[in-house]
Amino acid sequence: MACQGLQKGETLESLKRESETLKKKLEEERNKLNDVELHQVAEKVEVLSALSIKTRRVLKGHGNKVLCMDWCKDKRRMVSSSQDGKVIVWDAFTLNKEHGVPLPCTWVLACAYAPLSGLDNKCSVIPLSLDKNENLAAKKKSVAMHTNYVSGCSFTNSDMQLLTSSGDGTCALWDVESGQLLQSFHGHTADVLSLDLAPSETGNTFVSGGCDMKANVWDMRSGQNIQSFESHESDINCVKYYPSGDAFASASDDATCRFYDLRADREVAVYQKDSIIFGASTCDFSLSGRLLFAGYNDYTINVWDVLKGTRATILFGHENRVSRVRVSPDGTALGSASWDSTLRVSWSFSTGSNYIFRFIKLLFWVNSRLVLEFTVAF
Amino acid sequence: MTTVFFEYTSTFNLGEWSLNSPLKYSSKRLFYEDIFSPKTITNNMTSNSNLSNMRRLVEQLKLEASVERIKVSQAAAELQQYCLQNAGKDALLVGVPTGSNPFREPRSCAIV
Repeated sequence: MACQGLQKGETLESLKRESETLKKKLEEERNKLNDVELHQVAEKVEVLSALSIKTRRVLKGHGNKVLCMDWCKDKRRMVSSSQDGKVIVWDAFTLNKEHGVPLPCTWVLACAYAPLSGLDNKCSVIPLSLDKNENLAAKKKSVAMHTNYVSGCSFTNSDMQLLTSSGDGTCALWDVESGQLLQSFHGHTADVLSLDLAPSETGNTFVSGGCDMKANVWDMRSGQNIQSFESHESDINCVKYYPSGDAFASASDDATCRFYDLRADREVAVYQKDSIIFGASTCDFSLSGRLLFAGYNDYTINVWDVLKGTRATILFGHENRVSRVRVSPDGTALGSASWDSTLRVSWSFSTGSNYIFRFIKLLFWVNSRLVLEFTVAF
Repeated sequence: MTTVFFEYTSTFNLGEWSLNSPLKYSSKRLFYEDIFSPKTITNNMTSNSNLSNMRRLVEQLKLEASVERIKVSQAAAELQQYCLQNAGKDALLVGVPTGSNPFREPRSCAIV
């Protein structure tokens, strides 16, 4: 294909003109169906009551920036990777560290938990590595081989396959057992920074976002780019599917998060504020999809009301950039990892609070700090 | 046409991502690699690869233009419906009982 000569009547200019007219036609088609904005449709929805999401646990133990974290399907364990070359598995209830895996490479950008419990405790880490053929240890496998760093990875529903995104501009689907490349996805013109699989059990699409400011939706079986969205003004750092699978959100260096609907084939909401000038590096939806948690480089996590387009609340606490936010699989808690080498777990207490409990807690605090810690652990 | 990009290293601080990059599609590889390994990226665009790229782009655009779309009002209504249906189960919205730890193993209570 690369060496084909010009077809009859075809020139570079004519192809360029054709692509321009096609782009315009695409815009027109999309705009025809843009009859109303999402926040207008959501006007009748009740405004969110004041959220009481706060950091309840701080996990310390990494020696350097925490770059990535993920929840285990058992809803209690978390895995995190850090610049000090370690991958740690935490128990969020006891705050114990269950495993610590040292890796030879320092920039571990992505980690994911294998979904099936049969692969108990196996977390697969794809390190930033140019040593493609390095066999790390008996348990660890070098599965994905890209020509550049691997920025994101995700196990597919079947657990036997791994999807990776890379700085070489491609995404690839690998068989975990044999390490074979099953499908590759070309279309981005710059580094691909993030990918997310469609949530449905039978789904076979995924979305990827990259430094070319585009978010592409791909068919996993054919390798075809089905849809493409280009409205961000800077690198897209993270993409995440809406829980129903009909839409996705993206977080970008242009300090905005955007919400795209797949069936309407366009952007339907932009989450931005004049006071937010730092890029967003990560985003995740709550279980119902009403809240979008986005971690920013100004050390905060902004929580957006997805339907109304307004900010619901803001979470402080991290002392450096937030590198990853993830909602736990059953939606009860939010885990966040940061360059300040800590992880924080936050959840919300219902506002119909128990005053008697509060009073007892106050008594304990007055008595001694040890007793308070016992109560907090409960 | 040969385009050569030089990655600058001397002014690059590993801790911060410089927003003043002259490259339009800045590579995050700069961000992650050791600052003491200068590299040169060469992007050779021959006329043939240009042509095949354009052809691929045109095919891709044709495919995208033929996608079936629904109205935003309908899509938004369905998104809203999903939100409201699942809002009750969303523990980050409604909250867990005050003082409890959501990670504790659920103990079953039998009402006698």
